[in-house]
Amino acid sequence: MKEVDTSPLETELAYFEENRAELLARYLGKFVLVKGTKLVGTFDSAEAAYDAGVSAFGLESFLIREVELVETVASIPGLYAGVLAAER
Amino acid sequence: MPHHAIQQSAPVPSVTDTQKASLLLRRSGARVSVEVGVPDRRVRVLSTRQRNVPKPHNGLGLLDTGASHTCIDEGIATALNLQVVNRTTMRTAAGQASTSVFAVTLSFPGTSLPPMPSVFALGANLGNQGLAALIGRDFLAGKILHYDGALSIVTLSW
Repeated sequence: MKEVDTSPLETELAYFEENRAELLARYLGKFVLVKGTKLVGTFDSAEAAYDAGVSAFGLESFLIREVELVETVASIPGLYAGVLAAER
Repeated sequence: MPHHAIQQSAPVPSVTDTQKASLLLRRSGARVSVEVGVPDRRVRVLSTRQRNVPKPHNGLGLLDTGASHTCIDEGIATALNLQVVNRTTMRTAAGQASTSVFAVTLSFPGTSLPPMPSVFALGANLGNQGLAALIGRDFLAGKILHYDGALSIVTLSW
């Protein structure tokens, strides 16, 4: 799998992890908007968080993440070495 | 539920064409034209700052009921300079990997499928499979997908 540059959100992701317990206690089920080491706001949807993020920070990077008890793991079983278009 | 439907099929005037359609659907799955673009919100900021607005990328999307999330090709994400808004874990047949989540807009030219103006799609290496996007169950939620392998017709209703 192609590696992706994670650096743009390193600070924000670290903030989220360090404050996970407090975020869970206060904002379970919400989407948080994080810039640097600051919680900018909480929202009911990722779309609303994105709109707020673009309004506030324009083209700069920011993190949108749902506060979940158990983090969602995306399941994409067909995605491996061409099996999506397998021929026989 | 309002009924709108698109069908992916080929006219079947002859046995040969039927066989071709059957083979195409069996080999390639339910594919649909897809346009991957920059969300309007970001376009407005780019325009305001007189920055180049990347043109949307047109390609093929695969309707994938096995995929929990919609994915776009990372090469397209790079070309469109899409914004990474999160990182998440993706489980594939090859194991688990961390991947970027991009803010993106998806539309489906030539169909009546509703556009997805603000989508959070996972980056994946799809280009080597001729795909621009995998359309996952997040898109299919609230819709009816009918796969008729006997007639080589896929119908999506919503």
